Amino acid sequence: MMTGTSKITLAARRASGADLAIIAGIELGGALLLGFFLLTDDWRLIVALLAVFAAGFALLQIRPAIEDRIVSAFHAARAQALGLGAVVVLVYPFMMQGSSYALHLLVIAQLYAVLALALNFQLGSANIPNFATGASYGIGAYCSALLAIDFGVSFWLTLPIAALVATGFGFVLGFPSMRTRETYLALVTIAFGIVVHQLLNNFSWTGGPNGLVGIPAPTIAGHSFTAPIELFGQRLPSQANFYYLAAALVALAIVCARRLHDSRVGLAWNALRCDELAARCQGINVVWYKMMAFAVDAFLAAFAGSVYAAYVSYISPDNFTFLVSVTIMTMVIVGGMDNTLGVIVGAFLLTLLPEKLRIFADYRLLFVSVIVILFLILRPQGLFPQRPRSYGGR
Amino acid sequence: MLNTLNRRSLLAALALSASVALVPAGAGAQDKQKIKLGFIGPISGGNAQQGLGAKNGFLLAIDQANADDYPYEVEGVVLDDASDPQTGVGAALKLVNDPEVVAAIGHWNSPVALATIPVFNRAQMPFIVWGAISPKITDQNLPEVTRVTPTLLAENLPLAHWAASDLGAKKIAIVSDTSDYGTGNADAFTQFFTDAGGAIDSTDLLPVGTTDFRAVLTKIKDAGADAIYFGGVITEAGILRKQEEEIGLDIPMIGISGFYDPEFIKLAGDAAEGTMVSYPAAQSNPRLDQMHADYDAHGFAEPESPYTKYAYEATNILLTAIREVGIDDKVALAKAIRGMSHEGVLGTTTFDANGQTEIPVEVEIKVVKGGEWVTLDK
Amino acid sequence: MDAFVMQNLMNWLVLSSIYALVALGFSLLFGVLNVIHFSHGDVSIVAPFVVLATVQALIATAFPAATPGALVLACAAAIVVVGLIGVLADWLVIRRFRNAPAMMALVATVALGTVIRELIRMIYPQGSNPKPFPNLIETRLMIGDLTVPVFSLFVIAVSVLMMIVLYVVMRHTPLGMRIRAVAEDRNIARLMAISPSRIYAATFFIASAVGAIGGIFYASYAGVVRFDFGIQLGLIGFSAAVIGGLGSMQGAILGSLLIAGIDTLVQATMAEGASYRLVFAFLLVIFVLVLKPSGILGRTVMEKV
Repeated sequence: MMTGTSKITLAARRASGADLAIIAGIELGGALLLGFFLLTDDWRLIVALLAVFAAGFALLQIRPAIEDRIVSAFHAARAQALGLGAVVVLVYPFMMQGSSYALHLLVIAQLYAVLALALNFQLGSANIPNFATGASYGIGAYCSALLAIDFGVSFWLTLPIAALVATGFGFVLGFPSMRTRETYLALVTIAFGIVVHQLLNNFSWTGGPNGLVGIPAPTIAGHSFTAPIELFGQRLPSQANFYYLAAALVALAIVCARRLHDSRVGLAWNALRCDELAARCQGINVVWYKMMAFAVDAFLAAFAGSVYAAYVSYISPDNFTFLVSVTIMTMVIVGGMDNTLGVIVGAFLLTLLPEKLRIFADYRLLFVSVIVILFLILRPQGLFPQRPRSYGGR
Repeated sequence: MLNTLNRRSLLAALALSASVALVPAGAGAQDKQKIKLGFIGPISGGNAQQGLGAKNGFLLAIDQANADDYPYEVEGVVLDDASDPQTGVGAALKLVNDPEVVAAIGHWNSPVALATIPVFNRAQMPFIVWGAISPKITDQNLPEVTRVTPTLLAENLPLAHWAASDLGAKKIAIVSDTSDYGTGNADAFTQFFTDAGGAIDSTDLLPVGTTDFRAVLTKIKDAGADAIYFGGVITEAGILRKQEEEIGLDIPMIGISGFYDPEFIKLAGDAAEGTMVSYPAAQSNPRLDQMHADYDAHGFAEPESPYTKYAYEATNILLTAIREVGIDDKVALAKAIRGMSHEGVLGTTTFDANGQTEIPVEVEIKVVKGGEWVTLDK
Repeated sequence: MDAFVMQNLMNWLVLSSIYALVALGFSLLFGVLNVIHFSHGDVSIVAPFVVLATVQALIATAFPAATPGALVLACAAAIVVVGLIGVLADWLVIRRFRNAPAMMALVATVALGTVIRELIRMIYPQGSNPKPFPNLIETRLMIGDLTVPVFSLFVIAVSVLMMIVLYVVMRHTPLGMRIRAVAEDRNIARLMAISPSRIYAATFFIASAVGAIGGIFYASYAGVVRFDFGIQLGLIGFSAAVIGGLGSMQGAILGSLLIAGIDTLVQATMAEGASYRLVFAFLLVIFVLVLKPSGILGRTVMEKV
């Protein structure tokens, strides 16, 4: 729980030059690393970049003082870090040399980041193992797709409607989960996930195993998302539209995460995680907060699902299997539970790795799993461990 | 407040990283003579046996072109779709993004094909489907997309008629899988068989990967059907036949070419005797025999799969079209493919208005006799 | 009608036996080690592959053909080998997560399952193809209208035997006592001169060996085996163990009976039953867990405040 207690006080202090240099170095270095990773096809470079990434974390593992220093730097110069980060995200597509493949990877990685953040509320904050995130994702996607195809509803409307439907499902899922704990809870969610997947597969009005084809792409002010963007004389492939949409969604998810974490709800979740009985004794309405966790997870997952459906324009039940939920769970755990940045990094890592390791064709899946295990052993608390809450004056 | 020194260093860092990122990664000197053709298929996962065989057909055609005196140097790019739509889309985008790739062939699974053809359509890259048989693929009539395999409708129709007349079955029980292939088959056969005057006793759809059909078989035995129609693929077909015999259900099992494979006989063992499938005829083709010989001579690690010849044919169609039209105009290339009349291992391939192959599906009935598939004398 | 019912009854019992063998392994591992070993199904499915490989090796060297003798030898070898693989999996990966949060171990074992699956696919020649698996006993009995394969009876008999053996081992042998001691309190057991690491290894061996028997029966009953059969087998075995109550042997058996029962019932009675079998099986799981959150025979966890 209270891992890595910081020796350096996180009290307010003015941002020093060193702090800003650290921030710039890390953010820009990370962006560069990611950029090379996305664009290269040379497997040796890929392995080298992975090694650099792992070495960085090994270093942090050996010398925790470095980690503390970095964290305090970010803490002190928050606004600047956010600003720089926003600039990097906005400008990034222009650095991708017009590669629709790289942009595609970024879109998918961002969608998974949203899913991982959604699960993080439950798994990270409240320690509720939920294997049905894939199902919520699927329900959101199908809802959005069916509304768009059968009733011609605009994407911007289907988005909230699908989210509400999925939230309803989240509540349904929450009910039986109230009395069960840990492993048994995990199994209930697995069961739900499988039931939803099979039903999607069997019903004919969901398109059955064929899925749904021809989901229309959203339009905004007459600009269709399937058209390339022309800006500042540069031409970005159509994937860039979805990149920005997904980035906006990620930003929304991060804001939600922050607000919830800092609010009573987040505190209640953490209390639940520590000791449910004690929390109940303190007057925290355990049932209500658990339900909220399920609902929030479903809500965000559905958003991701709607965007995915519009992006690929084709969904089928096989996009939303048990294995997808497991992958999302792996992202949260490898990245670091209850740590927003960690979860996002975990999502990116686990989305990009299988794609980039295509070189190994036959051995791809094997290598990804081995790498996951190695990362788990290397950093059992996750790549970015939970930070204790800081109430230093600001 | 940022002091000027830090602001400057920040801007410098930004500029530096921007310039570095703009440096093209990787060599770019394009050799006019070198082109790439893409192949996407399931080469990992449960359907790998199909994809690997097809991949080899693809590579065989390319090797032969390169050895032969083709105006370009052709390189084959093989990508895995793992029977997963998302992986398939990733692979498609990779191909579309590579300026050296001129055209591609792909997919054994219909869901994957349905997901990727919009990608090829948006990039205007010609794409030939060598395996996926869902009618929806060509129904969309995207100009870049053509298909060399018959749809399952074309195969089920003659089988249904044969079952009603020659086999003399009045009630048939359908067992199939829940994939689009399986449900498509079940629906098509039901329609054609009832049109031909027969009746469908029961329809049972089980997920791919089912290993135990005994409950369903027990039910069928009780109801007294004349034959079982199986609309799934090889593994489940073998298991079904084996368990059918174990339960003591002594009725014939029929199907379309989906499980026409020596693997089926291996899996079902002795029980395979007497199983009958329909198989597109016009396969007694000297070019096809030549391809089989070449395949064996090449020494591929994997044996041929039923789709090897389709992938081989698709690749040859692409190569012929490129030879005729060149690589500069993708739209013209797509048109050339559509309008082609290609003499190859499948016979004479032409495409209809939707890009679906027009090779008439005349079926032969193949039966397992003495541990081998032989043609049934009519 | 009678034969129909009898046939289904038999299917039910055989399926239950096979699931029970796998579920017992899950229960044992969870009860003793508090470990959810998600790769148990994949470990169990290694066994049929070892059998196939061993039989081929034996035919090449000692035996003329796939005689019953060769098969028996191969099965025995497979059980031992898979038991050892279980121990290896623990030693390499799982033991590093003994003191980590449960979720870590869970995700690690899921990844481990994938690794095992892919290794099977890669090491066994043409691993992606399904392999025919011989029927261990070919003979059939005819009882009235009913064809009863002796193999089905054999499976049921062996499963019952294994349950009895496990029960006896756990209750009446020194090893069983040590296992229960470690399960109750690892540290006190250490004070009592019981080496926890040796006990863990022993437990993994037993659980994996029993699972191996289940895997071999599963392959023989289906007639084929493929590298990814472990996923469904593991999932169903896990569900059976959980709804019966993790840590309880009788619970694992009860859970298996329930799940196999629903499976057979749905397929035999409903028209479109086959496509809904998994739906009903898992709805059952949810239903049971809502009514009895720690499983039917599970010990209700008493938390000390």
